Amino acid sequence: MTGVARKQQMVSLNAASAVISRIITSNDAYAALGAYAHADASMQPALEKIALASARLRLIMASAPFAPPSLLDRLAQAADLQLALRLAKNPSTPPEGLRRLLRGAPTEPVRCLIAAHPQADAAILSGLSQDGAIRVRRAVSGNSQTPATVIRLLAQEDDAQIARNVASAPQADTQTLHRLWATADAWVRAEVAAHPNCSPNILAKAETSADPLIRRKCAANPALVPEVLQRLLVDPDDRVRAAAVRNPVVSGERLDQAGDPSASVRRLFARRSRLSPHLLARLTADPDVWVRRWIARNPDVPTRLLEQLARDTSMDVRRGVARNPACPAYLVDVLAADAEAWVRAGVALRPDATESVIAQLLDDTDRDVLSALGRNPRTPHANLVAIARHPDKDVRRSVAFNDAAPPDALIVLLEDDYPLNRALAAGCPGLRLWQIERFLDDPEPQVRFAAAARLARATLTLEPEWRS
Amino acid sequence: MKIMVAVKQVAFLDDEFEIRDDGRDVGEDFFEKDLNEFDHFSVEQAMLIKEAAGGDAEVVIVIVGDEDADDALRTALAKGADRGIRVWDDALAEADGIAVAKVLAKLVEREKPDMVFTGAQSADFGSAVTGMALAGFLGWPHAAVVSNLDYASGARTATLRRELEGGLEEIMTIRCPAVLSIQLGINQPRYASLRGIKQAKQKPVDELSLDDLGLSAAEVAPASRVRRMYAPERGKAELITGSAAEQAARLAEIIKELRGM
Amino acid sequence: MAELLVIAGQRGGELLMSSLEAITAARGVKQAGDTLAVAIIAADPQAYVGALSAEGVDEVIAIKATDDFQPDLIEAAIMALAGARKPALIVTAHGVDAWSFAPAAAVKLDCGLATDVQALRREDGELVVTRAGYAEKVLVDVDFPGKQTVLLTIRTNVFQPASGSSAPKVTEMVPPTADIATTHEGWKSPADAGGIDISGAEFILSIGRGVGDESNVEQFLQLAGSMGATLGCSRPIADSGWLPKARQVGQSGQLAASCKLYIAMGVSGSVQHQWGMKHVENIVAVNTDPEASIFSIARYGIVGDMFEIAEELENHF
Ligand SMILES: Cc1cc2nc3c(=O)[nH]c(=O)nc-3n(C[C@H](O)[C@H](O)[C@H](O)COP(=O)(O)OP(=O)(O)OC[C@H]3O[C@@H](n4cnc5c(N)ncnc54)[C@H](O)[C@@H]3O)c2cc1C
Ligand SMILES: Cc1cc2nc3c(=O)[nH]c(=O)nc-3n(C[C@H](O)[C@H](O)[C@H](O)COP(=O)(O)OP(=O)(O)OC[C@H]3O[C@@H](n4cnc5c(N)ncnc54)[C@H](O)[C@@H]3O)c2cc1C
Repeated sequence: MTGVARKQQMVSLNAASAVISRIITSNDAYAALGAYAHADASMQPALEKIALASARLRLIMASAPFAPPSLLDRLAQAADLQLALRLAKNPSTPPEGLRRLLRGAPTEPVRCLIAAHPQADAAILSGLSQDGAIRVRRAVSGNSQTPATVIRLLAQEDDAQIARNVASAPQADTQTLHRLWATADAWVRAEVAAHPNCSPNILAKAETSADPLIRRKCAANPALVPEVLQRLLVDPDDRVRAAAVRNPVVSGERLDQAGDPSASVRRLFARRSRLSPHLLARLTADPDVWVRRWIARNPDVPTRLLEQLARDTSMDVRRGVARNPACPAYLVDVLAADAEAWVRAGVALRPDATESVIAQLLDDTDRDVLSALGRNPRTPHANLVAIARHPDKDVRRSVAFNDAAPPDALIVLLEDDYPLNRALAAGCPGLRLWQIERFLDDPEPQVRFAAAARLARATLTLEPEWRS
Repeated sequence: MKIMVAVKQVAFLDDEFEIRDDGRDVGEDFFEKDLNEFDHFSVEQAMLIKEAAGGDAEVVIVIVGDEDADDALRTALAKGADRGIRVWDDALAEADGIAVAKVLAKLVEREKPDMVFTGAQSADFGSAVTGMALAGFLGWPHAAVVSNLDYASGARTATLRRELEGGLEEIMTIRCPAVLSIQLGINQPRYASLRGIKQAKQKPVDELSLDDLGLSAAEVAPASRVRRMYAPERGKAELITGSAAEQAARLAEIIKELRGM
Repeated sequence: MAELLVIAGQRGGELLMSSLEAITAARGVKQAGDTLAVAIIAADPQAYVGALSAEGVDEVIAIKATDDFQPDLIEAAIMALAGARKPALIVTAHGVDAWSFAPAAAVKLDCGLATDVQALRREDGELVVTRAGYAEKVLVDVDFPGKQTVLLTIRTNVFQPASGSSAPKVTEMVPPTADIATTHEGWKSPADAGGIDISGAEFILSIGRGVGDESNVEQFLQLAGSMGATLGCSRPIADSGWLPKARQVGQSGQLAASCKLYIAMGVSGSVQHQWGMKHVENIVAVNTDPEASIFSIARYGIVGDMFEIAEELENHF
């Protein structure tokens, strides 16, 4: 069949329901799962029947993070222990599904999983905070969604783990932190000192604490006033200064200790933005290679200094310059001819690489360079087709990550021997729907899933091609 | 010239599973099945030899297993092997590597291959028994954990390397026909092309019973019996708890201790 | 009164130390009145008698032949010994050499066989041994109904090497005639590690998609550097071009073959990643998700944020 004939055939299949019907007829669990979330409610029961046909499939679907939430909620309605464990663990299970599981009086391991679930809401968490099992309450105290009222209650428990969780819970309030500071051990107090809700009173004590851990945590507190931070920036302890340098409360322009005796502190300076020109210059000439590696990636570094870094003897420093968005075109040209492939690969990833640079790199044989070109939207279409045919499957796959990949290149990938490459290609927006349809029969489940999801999504949004 | 490759369908357990009521195996819903990883390499090795001989060699895939095992067999055929044989009988339900080898030995007598490959071990039970037990039944030359092979189709001897402990390899020559168990990494296994997968569905597969091979159930008795199966106590990690500072302090201790720092 | 037989091994004239572990394993099920004999094949077998005379060893059988590994010869020796002595138990280490000869010897003897055994004991007088199944996710207890002789290969590094001393009887045995089908031609040593060498690295710090963004990768390179670790990664990190492909651990990347300590941060522990590292003895997992599968293969786990842990770790190196 010619491409045109195939296309015509698809056009005749343009109604959304036709695709779904086809998936239903194929009786394939993965294609059904792919289509489910995008299918019309009237079609869902039929798809669900296919996707959940056997006990094995139900177990697989319950633990699949890519399963649609509504399907997971369905599974929660009649979950035995094994299904409940999988659903409680699956990050895609929606709050309704979790609530359903709780109504079935689940075992302690399941309750623990729900207490730690990223989609557990305030109501679920406050219910579980009354749980008889300490492990469940610990999990609640460690869930970042747990509301302030619940945190306050849990803070009264005499449990070392809960105390630690509460001290770093985002919702912990000032009073709770105050109580912990007064009663708990040094590790917990250190967490309190780092908490943005902790009182200025505590911060004042923490700043002058004899324990460097507490000063260090205090120096990391995002609620610190600049004056306090300035004092901690000159703390005798390296680790305290390092924490202070990381703290964005003092803006880069006001940092000036680039002569810090500790290389690890200077490395952190090199990572800050808006540093003064004088500081940037000093860091560029730093004897520590890691300082130079960081500064090479710093977008605030002026061209003159980047030029210096582009000549660095360390390959990693030069790679840093190649990855710096502020790197000017003429330096990009220089780095494109670097002796080290990893530096050239850095250039090949640049969305601003010029035609001539790309042309030059296309002669490269290194796989990191070619993979980078495969992802680069500026690589000419003919070359992307060639990369999609490269003998190395990892090089070929890079084209599937390229938003600008033309259908010609993606079609090559759709015929790839390597299943993962086909699966990724089947999900690419660059492909025409008629090109994807036959992947509903692919031997690999993940390819069928990707193809069905893409087709069903297209029918939902009525991509123009379907309306013709 | 003929190469026989024995392949196994292995089972991967889910993270959460339950032991069957009789306490001797895991419930059948908790498995995912696939062709044994090692067998990708042994099939590839056979294909390389066939291709080096200008296609003038037959690659026969054999498997002992029920219908379920057809998937693994077809996966191997899709890479270009010529035909398959699947042997099954309910009497093989408790077969171990020895019992499987007994069946394979009968197939070798029937097919008279010039070379037999197995995987060095299976990904699930990993007994590393089947291939060398087969050689024992046949009285054939044998070598296990072959990481490099220089063998031309039909040759009287082969030169191979056995991968030993610590990355050391032994170079040895071996008389052929032989049974070799193939190690991961001996080659770069190909992926079946879509065309190959389609063709594999049409390739001839003989389905044989123990009867067909002239074997009685008593002759395929295993060399051991499962008394019970259970989840190990360990397995779950020892959790390092506390605040991040506390956890990192403990981790640093562990690193320094293990690294002798 | 039964005889227990241990098959010791040597490689290129050096005793394989796992032979001493096999002695310990056999001694563990030795009952009053049993005798424990250890056989060794070598060019100069007498040279091993001292090392093999560990506590509980009653006899050393010295078979003077060659230092070359010849499975056919070992199998013939086992057949001859078993024929003459009818041992209840034959034990050898589950090393690569045993992979070649133990199953073939077992079928020739028509005896019971279990390989890669981690524990052995008697239950109501019957020998029961434990081995792993389903990629180490379960343990299996097996027995050997109706078998007069049982051959076991013992997982290495599980049993303590036998120590102590004894004054065993030393028996010289003429090597049996065997049709030897293999010829030793030489050795090949592992390749030198140059540049990024995941397979040769003893200490690997590996990062996964939890690292979030390319700009965060450098700090882990730096941390690995200061800890003396090689940085590895999961596939999505290499796929994104954030680290070279040579650093990828897993099925479609590198096998961490020499690794003794593997710290996985922000790696979920997919089967494909595990393929390259799950054998490592000391795995430490750092992951915000306490249910990530990486924890099921880790020795130590930290449920936490990889950035916080990394930042804190920097304070210790
Ligand atoms: C509790 C329990 C449950 C079991 N359930 C099943 C089951 O459901 N289905 C089943 O088939 N077996 C089952 N077995 C049998 C078990 O898998 C055998 O031990 C296996 O067939 C051979 O041993 P191995 O897996 O250790 O392979 P190894 O001895 O490690 O050797 C692997 C190599 O041997 C060859 N090989 C191994 N098995 C076969 C085979 N069947 N056909 C062809 N070549 C083979 C392949 O080349 C493979 O690469 C079970 C065993 C136990 C203990
Ligand atoms: C044929 C095939 C071959 C493959 N080969 C390989 C291979 O060789 N190697 C390989 O690695 N993969 C391979 N894969 C891919 C594999 O299936 C997984 O997709 C991949 O391993 C996932 O990588 P990951 O763990 O980094 O990412 P994810 O699975 O996304 O996991 C990221 C983890 O980071 C955690 N996390 C997030 N934020 C943080 C934080 N701040 N702190 C701590 N933890 C955090 C999350 O909880 C999660 O567990 C292969 C796949 C296929 C199909």
